[in-house]
Amino acid sequence: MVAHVMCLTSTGGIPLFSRQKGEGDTMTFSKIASLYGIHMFLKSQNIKLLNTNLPDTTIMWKEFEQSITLIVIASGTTKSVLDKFLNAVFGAMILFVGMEELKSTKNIEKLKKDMRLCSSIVDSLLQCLDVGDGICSKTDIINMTECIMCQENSLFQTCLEGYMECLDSMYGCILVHGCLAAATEGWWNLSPIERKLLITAVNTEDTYSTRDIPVFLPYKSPNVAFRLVSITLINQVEVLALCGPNPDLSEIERFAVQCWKNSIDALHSAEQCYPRNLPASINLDSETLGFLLVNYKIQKFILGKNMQYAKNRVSGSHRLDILRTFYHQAVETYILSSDSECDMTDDNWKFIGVKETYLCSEYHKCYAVKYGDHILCILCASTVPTHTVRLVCQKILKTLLIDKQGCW
Amino acid sequence: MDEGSSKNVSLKSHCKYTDQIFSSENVKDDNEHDWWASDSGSSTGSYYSDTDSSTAEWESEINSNGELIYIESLVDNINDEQFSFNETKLESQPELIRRRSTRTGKLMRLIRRKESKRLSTRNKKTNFNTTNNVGSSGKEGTAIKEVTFRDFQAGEIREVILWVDPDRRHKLGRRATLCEAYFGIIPGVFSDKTRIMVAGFIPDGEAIKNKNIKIGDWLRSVNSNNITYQNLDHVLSEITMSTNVILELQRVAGVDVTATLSGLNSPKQSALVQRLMNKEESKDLMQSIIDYPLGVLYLQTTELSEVGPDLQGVLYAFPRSESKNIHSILCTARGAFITLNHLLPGIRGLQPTSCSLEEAVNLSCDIVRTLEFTYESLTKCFTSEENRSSLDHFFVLIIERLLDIKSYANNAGLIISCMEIHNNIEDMENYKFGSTFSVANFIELSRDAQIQIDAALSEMEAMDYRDWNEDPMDCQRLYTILGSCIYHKNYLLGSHLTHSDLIEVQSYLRQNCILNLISNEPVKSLIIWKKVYPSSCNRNNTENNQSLVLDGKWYLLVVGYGHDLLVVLLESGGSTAKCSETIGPDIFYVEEAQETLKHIQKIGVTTLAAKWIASNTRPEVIAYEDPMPVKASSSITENLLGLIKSADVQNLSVKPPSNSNKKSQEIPSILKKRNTEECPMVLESIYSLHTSEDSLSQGTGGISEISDEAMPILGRRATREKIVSRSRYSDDSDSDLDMYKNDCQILSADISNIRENLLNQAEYLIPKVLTVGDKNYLYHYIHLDMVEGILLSSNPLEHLGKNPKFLINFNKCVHIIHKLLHNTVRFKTMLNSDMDKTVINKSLIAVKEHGVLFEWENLSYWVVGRLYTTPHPKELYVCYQDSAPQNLIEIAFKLHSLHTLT
Repeated sequence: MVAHVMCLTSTGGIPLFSRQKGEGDTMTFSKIASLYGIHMFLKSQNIKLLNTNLPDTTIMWKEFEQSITLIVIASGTTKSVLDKFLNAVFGAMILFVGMEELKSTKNIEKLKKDMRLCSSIVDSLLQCLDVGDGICSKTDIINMTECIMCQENSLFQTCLEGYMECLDSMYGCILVHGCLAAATEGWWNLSPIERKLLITAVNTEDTYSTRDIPVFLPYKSPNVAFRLVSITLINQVEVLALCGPNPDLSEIERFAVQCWKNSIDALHSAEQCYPRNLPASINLDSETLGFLLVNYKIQKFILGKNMQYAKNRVSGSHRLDILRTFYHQAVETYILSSDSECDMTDDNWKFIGVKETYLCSEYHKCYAVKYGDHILCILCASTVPTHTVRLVCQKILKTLLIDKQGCW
Repeated sequence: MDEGSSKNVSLKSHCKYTDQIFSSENVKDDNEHDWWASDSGSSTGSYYSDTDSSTAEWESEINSNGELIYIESLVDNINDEQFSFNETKLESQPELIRRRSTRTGKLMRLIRRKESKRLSTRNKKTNFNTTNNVGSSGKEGTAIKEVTFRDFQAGEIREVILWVDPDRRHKLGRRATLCEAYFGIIPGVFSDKTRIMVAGFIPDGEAIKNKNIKIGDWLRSVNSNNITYQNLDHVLSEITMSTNVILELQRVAGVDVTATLSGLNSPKQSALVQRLMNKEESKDLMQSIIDYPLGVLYLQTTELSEVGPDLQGVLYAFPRSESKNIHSILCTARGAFITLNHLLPGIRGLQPTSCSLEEAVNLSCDIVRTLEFTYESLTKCFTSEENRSSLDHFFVLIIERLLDIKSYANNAGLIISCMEIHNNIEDMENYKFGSTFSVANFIELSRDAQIQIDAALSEMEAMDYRDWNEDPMDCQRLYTILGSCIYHKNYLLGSHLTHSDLIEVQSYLRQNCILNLISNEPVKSLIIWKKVYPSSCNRNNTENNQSLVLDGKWYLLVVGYGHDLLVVLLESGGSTAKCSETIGPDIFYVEEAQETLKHIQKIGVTTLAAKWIASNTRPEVIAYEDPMPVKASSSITENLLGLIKSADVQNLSVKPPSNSNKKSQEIPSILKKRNTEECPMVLESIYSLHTSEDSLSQGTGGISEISDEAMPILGRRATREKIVSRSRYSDDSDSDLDMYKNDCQILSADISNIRENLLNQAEYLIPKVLTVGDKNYLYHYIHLDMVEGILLSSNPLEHLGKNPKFLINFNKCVHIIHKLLHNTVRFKTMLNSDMDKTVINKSLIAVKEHGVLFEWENLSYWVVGRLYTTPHPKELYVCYQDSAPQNLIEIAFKLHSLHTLT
């Protein structure tokens, strides 16, 4: 259950960093060098080495901008997840260093030092990898923004837009326990990786009341830095904004107080929504152990478990892990195969017109229904008949989408 | 990893394969040319023109290792459409007789004894009479070759002068026609029944030496006398002294048929067959594909030095080039793979498996299995120089199949041909599917047919020849038969091989394109004899000398007629007599296998199989494009009911019990043949008695049952009824005893009646519905048993409205689902100690069912895969219309109980 990610310069093969998740031997320099060397050698033969399979484990190489080579070794996950992961890791490097520096660095030692900044983000990205060990503390999906659906979301939306106007910015969002409750339109227009990285950057560090971090946006502005400003409104609730050089931090704090002071109660009640992640008005069927609602166009998701079953059978976090695995293995393979632009699937065949998919194991059943841009996956006990699971899933999806309170 | 550097064979999955693979071996055949079939109608016999020693036609093709591949096409490829292959030809294959050694001589006597028995039963028309012919080796085959050439009259007219010697009149035997005797031309008739066609040549005849006479020519006149079928003999009989005769011939076929025969002395081979072993062409192709990202390498990974020669460690490379500096992509990149192979165990303690597609990995496993089966081990296979050319050829064939290279000569078209419309997609999907899962496509015929197959195979395997020989058998047998199996086209009909042997045999036949040949065109005769190394016989333990059998050698014998193949695995060593390895196949065993195959064909099993496959009833699947899928099936049922009614009436009219004794001869039971063979004297009277009742319940009577129960009485119930009827008619036994003294009579009656009965079954196949609900919702199913190496599946494209996308979609799903289900199997079989170390995703260790709902063109359908693990893992994949929820276990159960439950 180990995952390694290694970063080297493409031209010289100088290792920039190497991170790992889980226990196990660390990668020695010689092994890293050999892995890099193979990729290098084949490149000289005009062959692009993509990946190598071991039983249950995959090694993947990827070169970015002809300057950085990333190598990942992970088990239990799919190639498309690993591909997205590598993109995200490279994004994290840009986030702190900027494209310019990565592409044409003069001083390798300085670059190495800069890379230390992003190691905490890389670590939390590693946590997003579904390695299937069932001991993950928080279930996250690499390429999507985790959201929370609470009744107060529409109120937050209004407040947020007022706050953004004060900051003269398009990009802002509000996080409850690291899950996005409301965001501006501009925020949704950022690439999913940028959203993921910005939220991760805020979540990884210990709780500060305010932050002001210079960031490059890997796709939107890889060379010009923005300011990522986060203000903690109440405990576990933060508001994020991307802004230019003005206004300065104290002024932003003032704006925040001004805009949010009237909604403190709402913020508190929203905070209570976690970890159910659903408004209290929506009740899941008793058969449902957990659910995963995805909008695959916007790339956001809500993951929640049925609190009624908090204590029995499959432990809570493992339940969500099962759902995530199901999402990667089945939903991404079939339902999203026609939409995915990456060619990580085994060949170029795309499945078209997939509406539903399910997976039954000895212990549980997973069912996914697609409706429009939405996909709902639910987890049930194995005793529930499959056609019942299907009906339950369709019903829940309808409820969630019709419900206007929890706009997301 | 991209395609170019996939570890073994990178395949383009969207390419397809054409049906032209086989090539011929151009072998000089100096022996007498003793195969040729007359075709002037049922009465014309053909005789050997030559002397005392005649040999089997394939004998000359045995190579120095004693191995043999002999394929003779029934039809000429060019005239494919004009020939209609049917079974009558098969029944009258010439019987092969040969003398070889004293041992064989002894066996030959046995054969002849056996022949006389079998022939009298199996081939009623044939009078097997050795005294009739000079040389005692002649035979009379009533080869009815339905050759019809396009007979428009335009065409080049040629005059040919032949030397005719009337003294040769009787050289060919009494029954040869004058035309055969004088000219060496086997006459045939065109469809107008008057004009004479050159249907063939007689070896050593005059005509064969003359290049101007071609098969298919119209023989217009002899010495200016116009020739018709009616006056041919008359005109010829007027020739009384040696003279030159002027023949006038007209080319009608429009094509030069004779030219396609690769020399008259080697067997007739279609283009497909000719691809089999034309190694020269393979070499050309191999060089031309060197730039494409595909290839095979066998590498030595140890004892490499830093400063070795350029290609050190490369034991075998495909494709290769003549010039030293050009290597395939795979070859130049090999260092990377060697490094990975060394490096990764250090990282994870696991051997790397692949750098490419799952399917390519499975395919290379299948190829490796085939190679190990034929060459014992990969090292032996690749290090020996002499294997080079055959390996090259082997891989060329595989790559052709994968990439669908149609224009063989035109190598520039390699890429273009990949993009051609894949009309043969089913073939390729079948091939790829079979290769990736290493399974044989099995069809479960009716119980009766399976009993017949089993009985025939068992009889051959037992090699118990005492019954055929009054003298004690004083020679030791040469081989023990380990098992056998029979194919119709690419469908396995029955197998007596162990599972691992079957899987290897299947791989061998598939990768060597034999199955492809046999399903695409009928062969007149196919014989393969090859030394093999089955894994079941401790192939890998040879270094310990722990071979199960001392000095054991194993041989694979494949014989084929038409669309059918019989595969026999033989063992030499242990109790058998010592035989030289290079001597090649023993004629006795070859003929025994051929006889068995012919017998199976004769009793109608293969015809039944063909109908069975075409009938789409067991179980029934519906067409994908059909908007009202149930219409078709219901109309079938209506027709059937109509039939039943009429048969019912008929049945009632013949029912009077007084008829029973007379009828007993005509329609005996299906099962009787087997019983009489087992205990011919004791039981025959009993069996003869109740056949009367059987005739009613089995033949037409069976149909009357349908009306109330909607199923013909077959299988167990038939047996049961028989037992009942036996007791009922036991009083009559005395009167019948004498009728069946001669068991030959019984057998002869049996064979035709077994055939009739089996074929009757094919007529009344009742569609079997697997799915739940008021209609049939099943589009396609695949049942995969990888332990036994058996695949049950519906015939996809015929019933899916020719939508190849649908099939590919299904197959892709199957691959993905299989991968998930395989995790479960792996985890279940894992040792407890390994369980902690494994890195299988914990959420996926117990998956047993996986389904996907597709919505295409207003039709939604499910593709569902299900794993069930007892007694050993089996997988079922079905594709059905979205309607009532289906229980996969129930479908699997129904699928397996098709023939046991009614």
